[in-house]
Amino acid sequence: MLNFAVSHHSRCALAALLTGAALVVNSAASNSAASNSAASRSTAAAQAPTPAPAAPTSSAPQAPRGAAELTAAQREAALRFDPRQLPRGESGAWVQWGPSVPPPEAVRAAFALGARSYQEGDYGACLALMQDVLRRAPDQPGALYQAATAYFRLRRYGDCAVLAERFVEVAPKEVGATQVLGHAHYTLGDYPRALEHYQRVVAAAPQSVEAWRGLGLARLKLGDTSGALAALDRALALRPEHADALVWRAQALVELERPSEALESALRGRDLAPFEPRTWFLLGSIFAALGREADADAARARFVELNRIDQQVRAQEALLLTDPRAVEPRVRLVRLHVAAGDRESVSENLARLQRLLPDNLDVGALALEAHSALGDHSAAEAVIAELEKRFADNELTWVSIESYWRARGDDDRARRAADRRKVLRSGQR
Amino acid sequence: MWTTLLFASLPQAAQPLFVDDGQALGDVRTTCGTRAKDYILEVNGGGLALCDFDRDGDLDLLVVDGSTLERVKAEELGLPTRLFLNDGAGRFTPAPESWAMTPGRWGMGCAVGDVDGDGWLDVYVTHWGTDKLYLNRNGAGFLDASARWSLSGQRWGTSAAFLDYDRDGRLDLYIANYLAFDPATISPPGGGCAWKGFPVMCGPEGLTPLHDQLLANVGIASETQPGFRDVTVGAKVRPEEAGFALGVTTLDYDLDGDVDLYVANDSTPNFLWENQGDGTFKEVGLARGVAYDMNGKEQAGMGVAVGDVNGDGRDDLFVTNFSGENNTLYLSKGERGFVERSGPTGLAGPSIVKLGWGTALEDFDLDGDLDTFVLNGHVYPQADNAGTDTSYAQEAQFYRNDGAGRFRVEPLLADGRLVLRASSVGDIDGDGDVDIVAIELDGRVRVLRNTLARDGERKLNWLAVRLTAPDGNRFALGGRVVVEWEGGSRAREIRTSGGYQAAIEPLAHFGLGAATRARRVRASWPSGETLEVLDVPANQTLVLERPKAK
Repeated sequence: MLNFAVSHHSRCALAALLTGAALVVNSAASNSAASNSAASRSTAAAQAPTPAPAAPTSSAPQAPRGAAELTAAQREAALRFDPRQLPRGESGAWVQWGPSVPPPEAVRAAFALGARSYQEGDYGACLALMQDVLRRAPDQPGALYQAATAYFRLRRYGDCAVLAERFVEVAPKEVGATQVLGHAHYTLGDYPRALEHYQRVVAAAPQSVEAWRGLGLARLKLGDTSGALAALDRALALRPEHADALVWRAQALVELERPSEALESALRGRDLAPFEPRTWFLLGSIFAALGREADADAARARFVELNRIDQQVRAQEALLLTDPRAVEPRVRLVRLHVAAGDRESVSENLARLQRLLPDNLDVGALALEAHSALGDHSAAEAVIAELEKRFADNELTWVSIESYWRARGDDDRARRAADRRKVLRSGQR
Repeated sequence: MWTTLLFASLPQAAQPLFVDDGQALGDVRTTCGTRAKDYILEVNGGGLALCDFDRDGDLDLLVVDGSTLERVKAEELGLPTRLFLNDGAGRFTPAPESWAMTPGRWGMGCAVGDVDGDGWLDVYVTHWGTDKLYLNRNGAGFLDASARWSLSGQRWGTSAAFLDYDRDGRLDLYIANYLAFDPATISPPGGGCAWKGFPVMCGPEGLTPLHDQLLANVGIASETQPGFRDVTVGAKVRPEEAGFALGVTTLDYDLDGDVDLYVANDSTPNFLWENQGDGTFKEVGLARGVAYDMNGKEQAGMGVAVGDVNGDGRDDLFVTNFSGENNTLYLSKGERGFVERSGPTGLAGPSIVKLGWGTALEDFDLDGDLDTFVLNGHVYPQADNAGTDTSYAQEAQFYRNDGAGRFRVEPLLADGRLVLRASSVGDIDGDGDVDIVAIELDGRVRVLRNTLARDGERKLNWLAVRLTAPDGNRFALGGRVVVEWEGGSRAREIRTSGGYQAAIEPLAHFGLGAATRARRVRASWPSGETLEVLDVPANQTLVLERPKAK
């Protein structure tokens, strides 16, 4: 994964940022959705398995150059389409199917492009292409799965469930990879069905961290707190650094009136995902239960601060769901994550911007602003070097650089930038 | 797995407990804009109160009506609030002309209380516009006293609650305000607001929330006396950031003898105003665990109900919310506050695809524990589009308490899906069980009759307790009643706040199950007096007069 925008580690980061290197995004459905906070920003990339070939291969036939070629009307039609109307395949048609089996030749290009659209967060395009695949190759399991996860991303949980259930029906051997169906049932409030499905998944794939976590949450919702704790412990045994599972474990321990253990778990979760408001919210309750009122007040204050930002983040992310190529919401996201101090999310959104607007001075200037605000000076200086190299003849470059050095208190370098700016301005006159 | 089996094994009720009695009121309708719902002003519906305004021993029905933007543009007043008198058998007829109520700009909800201490229930009607106060002229009709009681200002009041926050014997008023709505400046339909990818009316996000108000009752209004004085700032009922307030109720959550307030806010954290006992309040919603859901997410609170769900003697809170959010049950832990238990009680899951409004916690099946219902209906007609996971018209839900801390969801009505809003509750036909009246948006006011008492096979009993006082707070709002019977006990507070844009009668109703007598009834008045009565026969309304102070 290229992770340029916070790459204080590497001077070549900005170069990549400004030259449009490909961005790899995990293709699995967000696991955070099962926390019933699907609108919230995710804090960690999901690692859930996916049975669908998630990316085109070099052997794929020539596909359209990009999902951007799809018209707005095609996307709109795909979003308005009811997936229950998709044709059914012949019984047993996909009995030999497995994740390594490529789609039929006739639909392979569309499938590849749809998978790529998903990776790029363009779920409308993904649906348009996967629906096309499913019309021409009814019930093709990879397309069913990919479309189901796209619906999940679009917060259309009922549609997700329809296609995920169909996937389980035509490819029952792959049930171990369908935790997204449990997530969909959970998010729709059908906790008994979520519980039942998570149990199927962990039976088939006991290594599925997200299914164990989902099972824990479903049990918690149904009042089986001890069972929830056991499931969350299984998830954490598989992935000890799972921040969200740690926080839900803390929640279960609170409900079991074991606040000291809850505190330990919540603090570990906080250390792993310090910008997640919910963790601070829970910490407030735990500290209060332990009689540590000052700590409780501090945790609540941090929660309020982060939650205010998170509300705005969710609003911007909602805009991006329907218009993933929109620039303004992405710029606002960068600034919001800067306000929270969340470097990882700043990086992710700068990288997305760079992909949308390669070779763009404004993106570079935003990156400089962000790294400066985060106090990430090695990354900021890398950006400056790149700006000087690529956009030396633009006045905005020197405005940004002057501002940066001025804020750092380096009057000498600020003056030099100002001089360059003045020269450019006089030349323009 | 055990929970799955438990849920699966629950029997389904053959018939809903409530029937829509179309004959009880006739075809009485309310108006709230057009059916297109192009503006947020058009989606909240009107208000309701079930109280005995003429003191003839049965519950009368007050219906607050709205308006249309066409009327507003033409500078016409809105549609008037109407009173319907009960014939004693649960049938309502329009009250005589003397009860007519002059309209305001656009009516929303109402509060009921004896504001002038004359022993007759008065009415406060919230508006988009200037609110209205109607004094009850000794059962002969209403008098518009809005100007004399110094009501002014143009806000958007939704719900309101009478309370005696300073315990001076005079009823004060809390007004929940929603947002600043100006039809001249708000984005028109298609003005860029979207929900799940569909263009919809704008708000509340992006619009400016209005601060709520606390009006102190400073005495009977006269030429030189204002009646109400706005003490919002002085009483510290003004948070740094206002919420989009929709529902309000009174309760003494910490049982310290003074009345607190809970406000359900739309898309913003809910407020719990803790009465400090010195004429001021402190907002403690976050610290007491009732501002957000268990995920730390603010919800879109609409309706709110109060009652002792688990029989521990403390009032719990139940809040109805937007689709995609669960309705929220906050169980009281005493002074430490509340803990959310929506999921394990069975109240969360079935509510997520619904958008809830009117609700109440009452023992509708008279088995000794509190049940609840939720009136549902979306705000966006676009909810019927593909992929929304919800719908515009929705099924109303009845949640039956199994006595062990779980609720089983059932249809409230056999009529299928409706777009419902505010509700009020009370025994309208005098048969001992609690009935419901509901506002259907752009539709009929529906009288939902509880059919329980007509089932002759079940011998379930009840007791209602009314507290009175010879002066001051004569209906004892803020008083408390504890009833003990063989097999159970329950505490209830006297209030008239009915949650979402509604008012209820100042009376505590108890289901006693099979018990034919209450072993003990303990009553306490807000002024501190207490009274205990032993061995009370069931199936009556017990009226207890405040004893003289020792």
